[in-house]
Amino acid sequence: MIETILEILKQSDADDYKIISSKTVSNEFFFVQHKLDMNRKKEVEHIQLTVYKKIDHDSYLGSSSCEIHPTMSREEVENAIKNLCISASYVKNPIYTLNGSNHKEMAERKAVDAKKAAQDIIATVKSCNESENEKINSYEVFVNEKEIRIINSQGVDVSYSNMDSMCEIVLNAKNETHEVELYRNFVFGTCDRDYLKTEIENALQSGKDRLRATNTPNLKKGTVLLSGKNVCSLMRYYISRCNVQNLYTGISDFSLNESITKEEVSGDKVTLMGCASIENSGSNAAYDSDGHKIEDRILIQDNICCNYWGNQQFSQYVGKSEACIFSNFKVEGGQRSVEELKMQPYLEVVEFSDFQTDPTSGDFAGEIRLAYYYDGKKTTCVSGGSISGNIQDAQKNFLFSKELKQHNNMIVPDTVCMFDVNITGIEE
Amino acid sequence: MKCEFSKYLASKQQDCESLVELLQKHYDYASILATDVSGTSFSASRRQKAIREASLAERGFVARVYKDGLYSEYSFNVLENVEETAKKIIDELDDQLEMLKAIHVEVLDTPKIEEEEAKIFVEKEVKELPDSVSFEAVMDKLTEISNKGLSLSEHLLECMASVTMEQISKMFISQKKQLKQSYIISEGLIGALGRKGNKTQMDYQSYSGLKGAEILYEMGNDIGKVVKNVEELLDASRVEPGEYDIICTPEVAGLIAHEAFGHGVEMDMYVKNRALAKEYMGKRVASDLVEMHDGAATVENTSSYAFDDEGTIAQDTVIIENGILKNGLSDMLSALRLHSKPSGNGKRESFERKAYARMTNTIFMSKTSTLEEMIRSIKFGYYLEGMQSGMEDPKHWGIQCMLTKGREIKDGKFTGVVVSPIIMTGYVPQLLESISMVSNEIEVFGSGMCGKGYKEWVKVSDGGPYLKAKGRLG
Repeated sequence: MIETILEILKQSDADDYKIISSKTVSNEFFFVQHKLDMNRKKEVEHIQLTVYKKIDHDSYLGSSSCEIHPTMSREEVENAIKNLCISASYVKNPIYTLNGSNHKEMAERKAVDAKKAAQDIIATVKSCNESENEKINSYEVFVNEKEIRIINSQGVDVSYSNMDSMCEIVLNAKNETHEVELYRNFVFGTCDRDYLKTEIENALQSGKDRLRATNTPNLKKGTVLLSGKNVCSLMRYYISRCNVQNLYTGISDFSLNESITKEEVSGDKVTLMGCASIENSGSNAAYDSDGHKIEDRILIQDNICCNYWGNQQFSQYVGKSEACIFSNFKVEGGQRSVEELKMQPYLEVVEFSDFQTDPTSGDFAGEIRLAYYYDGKKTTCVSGGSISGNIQDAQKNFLFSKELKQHNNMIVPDTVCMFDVNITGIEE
Repeated sequence: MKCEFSKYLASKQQDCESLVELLQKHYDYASILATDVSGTSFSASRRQKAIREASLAERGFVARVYKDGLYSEYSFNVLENVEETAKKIIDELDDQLEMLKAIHVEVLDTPKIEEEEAKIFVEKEVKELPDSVSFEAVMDKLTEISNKGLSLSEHLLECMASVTMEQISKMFISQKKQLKQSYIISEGLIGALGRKGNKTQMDYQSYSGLKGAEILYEMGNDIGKVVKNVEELLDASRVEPGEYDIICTPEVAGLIAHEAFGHGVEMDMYVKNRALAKEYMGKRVASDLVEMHDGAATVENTSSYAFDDEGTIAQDTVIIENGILKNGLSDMLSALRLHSKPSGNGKRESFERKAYARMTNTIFMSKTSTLEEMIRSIKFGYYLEGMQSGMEDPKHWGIQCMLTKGREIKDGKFTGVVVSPIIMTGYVPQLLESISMVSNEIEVFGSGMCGKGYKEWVKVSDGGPYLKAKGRLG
């Protein structure tokens, strides 16, 4: 099909084009407790075509995209490309150029065994230590093998393959009167059996803690510790603010070589990096969707914005950085250990219904499902209520743990400490 | 104007029937769902324009088979040689089962689907087909809205208008069923982004329905309201956390319906003992004033269809009546396991994904109060508007709603104070039992997507009347 598309494009009115082909083979398994609910297999090919048209004597570059299905007839492909050429001419965006690195490469393909990866995940889950009161409720396993190829009219023709896996698991813990549920979603490249087993068994312990939780006290304001994937949610604010599209549209006001905060900070500073690859990330890719080879880049160093990241179009508009779309990120740790961060009173929230950070406003909030409240003398498990705040306030005195933790495609501090966060409890 | 059924799917009907016949020789049940969805998404703002394929666009097939108590599926998007495809499906699925046997996996034994004969061919109508409006006309209209918005406030950085129109064709083939449907859904959005000092805020207005290009004529009249909302958000203060009398707009009411007893009664959760609602059927969970429905046949909006992705005909399900929990929402396999009937709520994110029990159009029904009466009745509280997101907790009946803002009401009148953002949390029955007034008008909103946890995204709509209740705000 790609040869057909290229042939038709040569005869069309398109000034430029980009084709992204992806072939995915997926093995999927669904369990209720440890019994097989369903097994699934998927084998699909998707071809995304973008056509570009120069408008008004090269003042503008219009673009329009659609999927070319592998089952389309030649006539259907011709019509699709004709429509793309027409519609692209009404998309008046300032002129930019495609990646013209004239690069042809096939990244080295690592041998993968997707079925074995799926088998390992299932066997690991089966091997976890459950008890009468702490059990696995259900889980789903997805292992995807992908082959990606990116071609453009400027000579780019690159391809690579990758594998990603997901295990979504629900756990229950109960006592004589009550039962609670915990949800976990693990995404990685291939199965790290020790990591997965440890995380699941830790979650079962969290379930036990949630059972003995009392109501979150109505502290109004206090010191909050965030850990786990919630730290990733917080850090995505900075990732988003360094993105060229957000800079161009005005959502972000980060300037190169300037501080990301308006005032001096008294705590730890943010150092953020875009990474070409992270070991066992499910997002590792040799090339981005514009066909650029991905290379490590420091985005923020000690609260100073050093670089931006993003696609070809908006990188050219902003004009201050080389285009590169990252999928993996790392945030450096701070000065204090997790143990040191816990020496003063705090509310450590380990489970939310859904912790969210708004990348536009910097507001963050979430309903508490499980937290540990240390009042200076003892630690109590609590549940209910919510926390809320704004990153622009919190970043004035962030404290990051020295220890780092990987969550699929992000390496972040294990724990982040924030002061004066709103805490709405439910205890009268 | 009729939404014509996909020519591609029509050309593949015979192949699908042959494939089912071949698979039935190896399996006790076989069916094929074939989908062909096309559409275009347009957007215009000051700094960028885009025309791209709609996000729901797809073309492919999923075969479902059954043997020895187990359902298996195979998703693919090329169907050329039927015999080869049948062999591939059988070999690949058998191969998986061999792998599972090696690690001693047992099967959750499930009864076989027993179908009745059914033949449906539905082509829905819209006022104007998407193709009737040129690309140029659509972009001109959206650019006009964007420019108008930008002219209304010095604080605006951006004003964006977008519209998406999608034509959906689906075909379900089994030994006894031959179902075909075609319909169009459209949605529009106007969003404004403003900055004042170091505060940045955004607001939006959405449009949606089982409609075609006529949606464009509905857009644009609200641009003044969107810009005014952004300016209010830029000056908004923080809410003092606590419990308050609240009036929920239809958009917020819809979010509550969706999170409370939408997700709460998805019956695949009953199979896994993950839903408290299972133990509360026939019991009080809300005030007498509360009536809630869900169904592809309940109202006409973006999740309305003739049959679901498992070949079950669309229905209107009464979830709550006079405050009593009556029925759940079920996909086919959950119904088989629970010895109940499927309700037409078996939906897939795409042909590539498994079907789950999902919501369609979830709404509170109207009663008799007026909005004016409701506002007058509030001594001190908030009028809540603007839906951002929500999260369900079917096991414990917790609810979390992220809302854009609240307007302060004191002694039955708006004070002009606006607070933002708002997180509303609580215990679902407590929230619903506190509903003390329900207005006499309903609005339905279908521009959002719903996830199961953090994946399996499907189109849904929700809505209702204005509701007066008590809510915990932070």
